[in-house]
Amino acid sequence: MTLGQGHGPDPLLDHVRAETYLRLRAEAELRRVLALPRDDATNDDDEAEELTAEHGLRRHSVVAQALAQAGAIGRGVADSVTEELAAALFARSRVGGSDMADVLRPERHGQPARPPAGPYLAVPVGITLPGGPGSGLAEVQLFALVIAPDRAILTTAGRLRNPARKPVRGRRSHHAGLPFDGPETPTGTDDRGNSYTMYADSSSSDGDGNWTCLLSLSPIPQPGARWLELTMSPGSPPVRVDLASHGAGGGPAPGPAAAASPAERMVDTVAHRLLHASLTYPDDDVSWYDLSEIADIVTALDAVGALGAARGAVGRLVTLAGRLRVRIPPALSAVAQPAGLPAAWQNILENRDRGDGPTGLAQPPPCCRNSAAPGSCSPGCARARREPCFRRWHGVCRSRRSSPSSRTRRNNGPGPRATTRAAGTSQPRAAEAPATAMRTWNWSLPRPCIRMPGRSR
Amino acid sequence: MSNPEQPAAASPPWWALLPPAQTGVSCGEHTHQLHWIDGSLIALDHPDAEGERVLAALGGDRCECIDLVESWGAHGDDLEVLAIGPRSAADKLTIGPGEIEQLQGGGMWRPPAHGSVLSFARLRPHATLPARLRARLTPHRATQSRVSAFFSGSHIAGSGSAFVISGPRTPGQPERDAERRAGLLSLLALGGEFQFRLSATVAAAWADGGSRAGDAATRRPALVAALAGRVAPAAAAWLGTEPDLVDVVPHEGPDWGRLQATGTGSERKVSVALPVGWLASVWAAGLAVTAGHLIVAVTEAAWPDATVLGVPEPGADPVTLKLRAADGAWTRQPGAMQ
Repeated sequence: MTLGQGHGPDPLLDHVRAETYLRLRAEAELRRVLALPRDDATNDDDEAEELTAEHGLRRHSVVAQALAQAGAIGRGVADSVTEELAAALFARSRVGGSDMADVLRPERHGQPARPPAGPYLAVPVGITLPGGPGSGLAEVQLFALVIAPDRAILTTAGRLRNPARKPVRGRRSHHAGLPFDGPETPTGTDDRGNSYTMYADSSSSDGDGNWTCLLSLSPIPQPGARWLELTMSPGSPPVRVDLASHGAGGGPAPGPAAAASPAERMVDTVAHRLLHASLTYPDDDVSWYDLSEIADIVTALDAVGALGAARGAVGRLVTLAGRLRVRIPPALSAVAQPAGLPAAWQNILENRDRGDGPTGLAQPPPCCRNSAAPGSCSPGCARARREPCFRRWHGVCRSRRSSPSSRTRRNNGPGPRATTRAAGTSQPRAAEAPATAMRTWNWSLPRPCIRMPGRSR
Repeated sequence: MSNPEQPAAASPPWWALLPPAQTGVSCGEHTHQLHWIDGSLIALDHPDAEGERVLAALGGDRCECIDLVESWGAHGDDLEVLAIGPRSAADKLTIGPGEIEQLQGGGMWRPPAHGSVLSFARLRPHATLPARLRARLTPHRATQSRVSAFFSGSHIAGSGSAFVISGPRTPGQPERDAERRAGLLSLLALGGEFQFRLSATVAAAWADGGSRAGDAATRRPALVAALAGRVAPAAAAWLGTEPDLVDVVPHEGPDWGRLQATGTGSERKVSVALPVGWLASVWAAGLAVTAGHLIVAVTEAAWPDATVLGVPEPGADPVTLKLRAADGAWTRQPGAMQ
């Protein structure tokens, strides 16, 4: 797959119509905010039905950027209209100087980062390894390897062997510990004898020992390499990643990943994120997921004639949201072209409650550990309700309870996101989710507004 | 509905129904008066404003009054005024010196380092650059590093040289935009009367016969929004519907425009076409909806008296009304012709 086609105004779209729409939208947004009681316009209250002025401004900015990304308007117009709305709200004390500064900061005017042109290769890995002795890692899960023209990233997660928090001198907070921060970094070789090192591009930890990490390979594997052999820590078994069978140019990417239009990619990306959320929160409840932002974007794209073939993508998103019992804004339903789910999505949904992996090393949480049988802990466990990582554990327990056949497997892995095997096969395939998402990676897409219960929007 | 009835052949100037306005501003250690009359802003305490501008251009001290008058002129055709400024008399802008200071403190605005150069170029386009001002500049060389983009390539007309202001930073268009916007907000901080007068100035510039009328087609989206942002709330309140149901487009042509409505009650949809000049002559004067009519044109004006065309209801022809301003409101006077 090749990305990198230039973004910019699309000569086939009516830019005057699109700019007029955006400016009238700004007028309507200003009217909406001015109609709010002043306290409601500025208070960030979870229970408020209306968006605050600040959130409305950010939503407007997202729509403006989406129109620019779709080529309906120039990026300068998008920035200008947003800045004027920010200034109008500021002049009426509806947003503060810092909110305005966030919107107006000069960095916004730069060209958005976009994928460099060239071949992209996404390879599902899907394996869980024990951490090597002395590595501090209890286990390492390898999800997918993505090789882009300017970088090569391996997505990983796992658990630390000793997740105890360590105090950091001079700080009141505690350092939770991160993977791959020691002198022994992961390494790799390829079939041509080239050596690679890997370093943590970004990583995070929840303080209980669960971590995620994006490992960057250096140098970037060159096209033509048939396989890579990765050693995550000294003493851990090497993992061979077959590049040849996923080679660039080996055929079009499956499913919606081949989407051509920016609008379609925007919608599909939101669907991927919803899918991801459904894996992260496998207790069957992602009803909190907020699709209103993408609904605003779709409304805008439709109004200016830039939605086009993305109606099918909206259809996929609506179908997915329906399956996950997520509230579907009417604006999405109105323009959705009926569509089924791509096979990869379907597969993820069907297997998202499964926690079977090739190697299970991590310990279940105490509520499960102390139970006579896995999954017999209280479904109302308060901590599970409170902490996402704990909820993920809980989801594993529940899935095992509901899926007796899985008890026969060694499936103590911390979640279906890690490594899901298809029943009766030996090939891991849950890594399809990140792999698919990577294929439509768009560096400048707006993030979906995810409203968590009990959290501020 | 289109009505052939036209405003008077010699329409009154757009400011004819805007009475003079005055406000005090802090200028150095004093409070000085800015006075607006007949479309112009005057610094009353600076009778030789032109001379002061030249002195400032030569490197002398700048004063707030003169800066504001200059800024007023610079924003006289700035459509951003209409994007930020008030939409109706009830739409109160709260910005004041504190908010302007907040923006400046946040690094979003800095006093223009190049102000004196710009002023000089504007006031003495063919003069030799004075030595005092020249001393503040450095000759522009293509290979010079760390020079400001502000003046890169900007020749001072007639000076025979090109100059740049040296500095470690290289502000670009975004910072110039932020600076310009802060200047605009400073003008809006002068108060409601000045906000409406500045808005009217801009609208008049883009209206038929205005200095920017020829460019109106290229800025149509901004003009549509400016018009819609003011016509829609007025028409909606007049007809008891929602502003979002009012469709507004700029009208081009010799007649006053058109007004149509469909549906009933709060679902009533309205379609309005009015010229951009309506903002200057009608809306800015607070006449949008008066005596139960949507005022669409001013035919005679001698403040506080006005003769206007008003539409009593959608689909009806406009009628002539005689109005008088008193205590900040327009009231219908006897003698109106139906």
